[in-house]
Amino acid sequence: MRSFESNWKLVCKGESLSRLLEDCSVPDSVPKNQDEQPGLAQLWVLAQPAVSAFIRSSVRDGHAADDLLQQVAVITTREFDKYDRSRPFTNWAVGIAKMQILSHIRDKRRDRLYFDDELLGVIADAHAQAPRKSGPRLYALETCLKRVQPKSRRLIEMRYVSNLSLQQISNQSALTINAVRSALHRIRTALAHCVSDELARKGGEL
Amino acid sequence: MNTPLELIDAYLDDVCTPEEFSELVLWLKESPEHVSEFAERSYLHREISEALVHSAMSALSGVRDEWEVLQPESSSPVSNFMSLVEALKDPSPNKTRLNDITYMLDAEQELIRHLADRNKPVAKIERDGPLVVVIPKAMIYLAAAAVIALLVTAVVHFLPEKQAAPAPVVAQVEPQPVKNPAILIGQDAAVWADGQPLLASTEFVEGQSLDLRSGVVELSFDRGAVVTLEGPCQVQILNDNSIRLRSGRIVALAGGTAQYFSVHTPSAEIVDFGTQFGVQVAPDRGTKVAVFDGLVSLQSSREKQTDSLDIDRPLMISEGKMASVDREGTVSETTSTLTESDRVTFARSLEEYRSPEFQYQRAVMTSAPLAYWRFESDDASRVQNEVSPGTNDLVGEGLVGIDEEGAFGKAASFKAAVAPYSHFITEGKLAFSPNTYEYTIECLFNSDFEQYAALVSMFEEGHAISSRVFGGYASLGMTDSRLAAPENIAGWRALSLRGMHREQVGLRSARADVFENEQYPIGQWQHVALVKSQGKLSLYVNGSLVGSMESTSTAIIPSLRAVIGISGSWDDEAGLYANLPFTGKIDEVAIYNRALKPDEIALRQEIWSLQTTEELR
Repeated sequence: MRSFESNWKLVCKGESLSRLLEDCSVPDSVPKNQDEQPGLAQLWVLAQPAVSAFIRSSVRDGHAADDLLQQVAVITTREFDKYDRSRPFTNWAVGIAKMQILSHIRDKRRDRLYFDDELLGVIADAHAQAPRKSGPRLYALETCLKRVQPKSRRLIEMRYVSNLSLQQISNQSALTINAVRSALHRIRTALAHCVSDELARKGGEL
Repeated sequence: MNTPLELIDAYLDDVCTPEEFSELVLWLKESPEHVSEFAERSYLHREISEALVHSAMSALSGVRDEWEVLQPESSSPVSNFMSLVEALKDPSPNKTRLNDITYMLDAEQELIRHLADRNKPVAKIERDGPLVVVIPKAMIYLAAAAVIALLVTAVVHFLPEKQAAPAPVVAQVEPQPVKNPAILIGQDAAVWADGQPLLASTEFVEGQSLDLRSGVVELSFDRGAVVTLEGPCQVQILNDNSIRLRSGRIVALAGGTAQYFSVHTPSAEIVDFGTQFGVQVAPDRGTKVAVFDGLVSLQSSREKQTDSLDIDRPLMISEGKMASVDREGTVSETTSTLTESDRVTFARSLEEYRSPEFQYQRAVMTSAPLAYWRFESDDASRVQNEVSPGTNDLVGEGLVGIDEEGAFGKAASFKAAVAPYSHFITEGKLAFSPNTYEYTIECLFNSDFEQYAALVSMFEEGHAISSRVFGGYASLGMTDSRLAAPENIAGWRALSLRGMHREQVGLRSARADVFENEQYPIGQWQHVALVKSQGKLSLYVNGSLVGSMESTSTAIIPSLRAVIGISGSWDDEAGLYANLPFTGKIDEVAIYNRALKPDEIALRQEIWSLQTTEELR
């Protein structure tokens, strides 16, 4: 991996996104021995994947999750001067996300399928504490996705690119909703195994 | 039993039942490792989304593999933009806010140009009145775009304070103006009025009218509703969440973001509350609404047009119910229960339309049977008649078993038994037309040789039945109540299916067997129809007429009973039925008070062939 000499100076052209993230993006932790403290934008780039995953895992409505992510971005911007730099920024941002999710849940009491406050806190911690190195993982994932059979690829594209519900996928694919649910589960599990194998093969780490 | 990962996936896919959710919560609370596993799986979902969205966007923009880290170096458009955001966050009292904003807008324009010059589909910023920021929704998932998402969000957030505008500035992902609110996602034998075929993914503009002459098409609306049109049908696309139905029938699957999808007809407006429903506009312009799932409201167009100050109270129609509005706009006072006939009026999806089972049911119901038994219940002692479900009239009751593997779904199963013989008998009387004596019995049957052999061996093992029972006539019998007297016993059977050992299907009359040598394959489903018309009984096997004979039963009779599965003749002397019962499976039994036409019978065989062809695939 190329060394990261100074923030925001490296321009990568002609690279895929995964390669970009692997080689050119900001490092896993912001360099501390610099005169200048890392800015909000840089910290957000690091924290955003965990914040996004946490919100998505707690609020199943994709549109609501998008709105919440935007709200968290607004709050972190507005409250950035209150951020205690001795603490990890990701934990702070995930904490804000947790408060926003709780507020969202209170507004949506009719939907019973929400985690309680205590469990939500434990899940927030899990998201905040798991260090992730998205570049190599994404690169491995791209490799694995190329191996997915066309039929399966179509299913996951309907789910993630077209953002269709399983019912809508069922309507369009001549499969029952249970068959769609089961197929997607199998594909994800296969992808997870493939990514692990790829990373192990390349000596990477999860 | 689901594995934890299956539960997590179901939860994240929003298809988790409350029971599964409870199971997931219990599992998560068991240990911190489970929570980590949950977080890990959530992260995988996000990563797959990210990788796929990137690939899709790259393909769309044609600039795959050309990404760039936006760099806030000195004097770059990005850094200018960022520094302004920072400045606006904590504006110095010495600065003029208005100037800041002006400067920011200039910087924003420069940023747009910067992005445009490099042909990067990163973000698009438009202004119309108050500042509106449009970000491709997918970009939210992209780490590379996170900076921009944050910046533009922040800018939008702070601008209202500075502009003191009464209208809030849009601070979210804005949809593009809807120009093509619906798209063709599927079709089957579609013929349009102009004779031109439409390609898959054809987009329709707002206000566009469609005239489908025949076949079925499926449209997907931007807000998520999927609408199935069956020709002949005329519709107009109104916007991304509503359609006008001028004639014909459609089925809408709405819900989620497509909730409140509406269908406008000449006499009514139907609004969805998260459901699947069918709407039919008849030639007289009346509207019929059938709700398959969820809830819809039905509102007369006439009521909406009046200036009455009365509170508008639409009729709410719940799952399994239907209601109608006549051409004058008068809404039926109450809802009624959907019948099988109503259900097969509407093809609920392209998949259903293509299904032989649906087509067969529709063919039967279109022929208006007196009774139709599909044998789909698990309760063999009470078999529902699809024509009048829930009533005692014409409900079959007997000792028939139910087999999971029928011609379509489940089937009546007739296994070897000495007594009582498996049979199926209609409970009520079937009213025939007093002026004619015509009828048709049809069904699908599948003979089981092993069961037949077992049955024969039972008798051979010395049961107290006379040797006469070896006539070998397994029977799909229809009993004429007029002829039920012992002296007319030989005329009982309108139809007999010959026993397995002779591999024949035959029509047995009062005095003779006919069609003695008609062969039919054992262990395969066959369609059979017996038609009584104009003094003649005709037998159709697999769509073809295999023979006919004179029938002297011309007297007007008020009723008829049907006995299915048992051999016909009752032997008073022996106290037993004189022939062996049918062994095997019978399905889709229908009785009509008229003679089906040959083309109606041929259609059933055609559909049935489709089913068997599909099974072979």
